[in-house]
Amino acid sequence: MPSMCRLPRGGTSVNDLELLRMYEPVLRFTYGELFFPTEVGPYVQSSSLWRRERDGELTQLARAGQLTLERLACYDEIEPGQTLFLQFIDDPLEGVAYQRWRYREDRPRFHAPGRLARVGLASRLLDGFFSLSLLLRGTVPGGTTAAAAIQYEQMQRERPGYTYYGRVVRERSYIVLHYSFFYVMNDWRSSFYGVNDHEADWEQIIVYLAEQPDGPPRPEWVAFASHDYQGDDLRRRWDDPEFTRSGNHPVVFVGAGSHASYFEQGEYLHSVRLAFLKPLFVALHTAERFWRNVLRQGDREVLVNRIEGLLSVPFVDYARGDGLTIGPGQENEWTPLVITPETGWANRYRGLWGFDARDPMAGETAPGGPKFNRNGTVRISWHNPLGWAGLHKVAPSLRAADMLLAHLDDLQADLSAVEAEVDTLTTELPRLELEVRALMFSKQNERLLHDQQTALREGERTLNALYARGVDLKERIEASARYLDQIQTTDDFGDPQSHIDRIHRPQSESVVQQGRLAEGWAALSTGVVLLAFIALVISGVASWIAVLGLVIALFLLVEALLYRRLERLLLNTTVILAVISTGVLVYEFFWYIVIAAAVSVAGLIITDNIRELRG
Amino acid sequence: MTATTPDRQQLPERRHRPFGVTMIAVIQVLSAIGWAVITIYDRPDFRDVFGSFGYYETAGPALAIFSIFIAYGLFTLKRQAWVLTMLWAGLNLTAALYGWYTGEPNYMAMVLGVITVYYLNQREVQLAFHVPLAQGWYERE
Repeated sequence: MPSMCRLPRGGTSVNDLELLRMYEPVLRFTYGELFFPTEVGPYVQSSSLWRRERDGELTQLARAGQLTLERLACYDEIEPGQTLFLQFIDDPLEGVAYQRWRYREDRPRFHAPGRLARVGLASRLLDGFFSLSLLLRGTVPGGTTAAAAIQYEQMQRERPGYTYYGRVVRERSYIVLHYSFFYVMNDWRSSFYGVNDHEADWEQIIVYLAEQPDGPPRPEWVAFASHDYQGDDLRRRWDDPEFTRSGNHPVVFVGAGSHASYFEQGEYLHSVRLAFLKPLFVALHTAERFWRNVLRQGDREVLVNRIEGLLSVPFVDYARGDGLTIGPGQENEWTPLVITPETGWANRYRGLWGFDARDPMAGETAPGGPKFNRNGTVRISWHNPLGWAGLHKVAPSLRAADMLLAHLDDLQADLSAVEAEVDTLTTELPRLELEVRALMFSKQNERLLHDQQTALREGERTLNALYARGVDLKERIEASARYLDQIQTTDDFGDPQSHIDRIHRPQSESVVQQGRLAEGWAALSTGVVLLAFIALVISGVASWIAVLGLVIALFLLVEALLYRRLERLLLNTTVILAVISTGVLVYEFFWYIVIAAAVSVAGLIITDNIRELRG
Repeated sequence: MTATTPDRQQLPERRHRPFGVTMIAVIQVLSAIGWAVITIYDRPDFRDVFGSFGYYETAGPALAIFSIFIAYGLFTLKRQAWVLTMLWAGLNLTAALYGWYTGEPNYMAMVLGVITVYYLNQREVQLAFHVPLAQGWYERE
C-alpha cells in the first residue's frame, strides 16, 4: 500500500469557470434512463480498488469506504501486465431481489419498437449468435445494473445534483472548453438491448472558441464523442443549421444506456462488424469497385453497404431526448467542477474506473478516466483536443482573412519567381539551340555536341514545367482571392458540413415504426429458421440443402412483403441471376470467349494500322 | 460566420432515350408481332407448348399485348416499363438456368437476358427512367 502522498493544491481560474458556464451544454436524456452525470467522489468512496497481476491473481488495495480521491491519485504507477480497477458493485442483485427490482411499480417503462425489424434475417441470426457469445466472453454480471441503480439513487438522495467536469485549454488561438461527464454505469445492453454493459462511463463534448484580440472569444466549433466516429466527423460548425442550440448552449441528445452524444434527436442504428469477416468485406469492396466503375452498374442502395449490414450485428442507440434534461434554463441545473493540472485523481490515476470484465472484445470492461485510455495511455482528446476533432488544419474564422492574405502574398511571390525564371530561360534556350546547330554543322566535337543537346533538352523540360507551375499558381491565386473577397464582404465560409465525410443520422420514422406484424415476425423468424434447419437435418430429406434454400427464399419473400420491399427483392434477384448466368456462360464457353477476345484484339489492331496507313 | 445551404442536386430532366433502350423496345415490338403471327397461323409447336396448359388461345394475344405495353413504356421512358423488362429478363434467365441444369440449355436466351439486365442496370439508363427516385426503391434514412 503506498504511503499517503502530498498533493499540491491549485486554484481555479475564475475566467475558466465563467467560460465553461457560458457554453455549458444542455443534455437531453431518453425516458427510461437510469443513470445521470454525477460526482466522482461518492462513487470512489463506495468502490473498492483492486490490482490484477498478469497471471490473474487479484489483490485488494482498498476496501469500499476507505478510498478517497486524494488517495486514488497516489495510484499513478502500473507495472506492465498489471491492471488497476475500481469495483463499484460487489454483490449484484440476484434471484427474487433482482426480479423485485425489475418489476417494481415506479420503474420507467421503456418501449423499443422493432430493433430487429429494422434489419434483415442474416443480421438477426448474427445478433442471436452475438448474444450467445456473451456466455463465453467476460461480461458484467446480470443484476449489476440493478444494484448500481439502487446505489446511485442512494447517492443522489444524500447529495442530489448533476455534475460535469470542465477543463480549459488554450492552444493556437483556440480556447478549448472540454466537458466530461461521469456516469456510475453504462447499462446499454441490460436496459436497452444494446452492445455492452460496464461499470463507470466517461463521456465528453468539446466546445472550441476563437480568441479575439479586442473582444470576448467567439464560438466556432463543437465536437461530440460518439462510438466509432473520429476526426472531422465528430465536429459541427457553430452555425450549422442541423446543430441544436439553446442560446449559447449546445444541446446534446444522449443515447440511453450508452450515454453517447448526438447532434440530432432520434434512434441511431449501429452495425457492429465481426472482426473475422474483415477479409470478406475487403473482397466485397473490391468487387463493388469493379461492378460500379468498370461495368458502370448503378445500384442506388449501395449494395455492398447493404451486404455489410447483413453481416453485422445491429444495435440501436436511443437518443430520443424525451426524458430528463439538465442544463441552463432546464428543469435541472449543473454543478460544474473544474479540472486543473493539479487535480490529482484526473491527472494521475491510470487505472480503470470500474469492474475489469476481461472481455477480449473490451466492450464489457470499464473505461479509463477522462485523461487515460483503458491501457493507460493518454487520450487524444486530452493531449491533443484540436487534433481529436481535426482542427489543426482549420484556421479560426477571425484569423482566416489575415492568413489567406498572407498566403496570397506568398503565392504571388512564388509566381513572380517563376515568371522571372521563365524570362531567363526563354532568352537562354534559343541561344543554346543555335549553338547546338552550329556544333552539328561543324562536326568537330561529338562529346560537346552531346552535352549541349542534353542541356537543351533539360532546359526545355524545365521551361515547360515552369509554365505548368505558373498556371497552377495563377489558379490558386484566383481561387484564394475570390474566397478572400467572399469571407471579407459576406462572412460566408460556405457549406458548414463540407468537412464531414460520414454523417450519422437517426433512422427515419418509417423505418422505426414498422408495424406490429413486422415486429412480431422479426422476433420470431430467427428462431424459426434455426428450428427449420434442425428439422430438415433430422428428417433425412435427400436434398435438404435445396429444401433449406427454398425455406430461406420463402422467409425472404415474407420479409419483403412485410417491409414493402418486394420490388427491390425481385430486382436484386434478377441481377443475381444475371451474374450466375454470366458464370455459367464463361464456364461453358471459356475457350470460345478467349479465342473471340483474341480475334477481336487482332482485328482492332489491323483496323487501326490500316487506318493509319491510309491517313 | 454564416452558412450557405448547398444547392440541392436537381435531377436532370428526361433527356433523349438511350439507343439501347430503343433497340430493346424494337425487339419487344417484333416479339409482339411474332406472338400475333403464331396465334393467327396456329403453329403446331406453339399449340404443343401452351396447349397442355389449356391457354394457347389466349397466351399468344396476352404476350403480344404485354410486349406492346413494354415497348410503349420503354419508348416513353416509363419507370414501370424498366421494372417489368428487368423482371421479364429475370424470368427468362430463371428458365434458361433451369434448362441448363436439366441438360436442355438455351444459351441464346441466357445471353440475351444477361445483356438486357446489365444494360438496363447501368447508371445512365436508370437515370433515364428515373429509377432511383421511386418510392420504396431505397430506404429513406
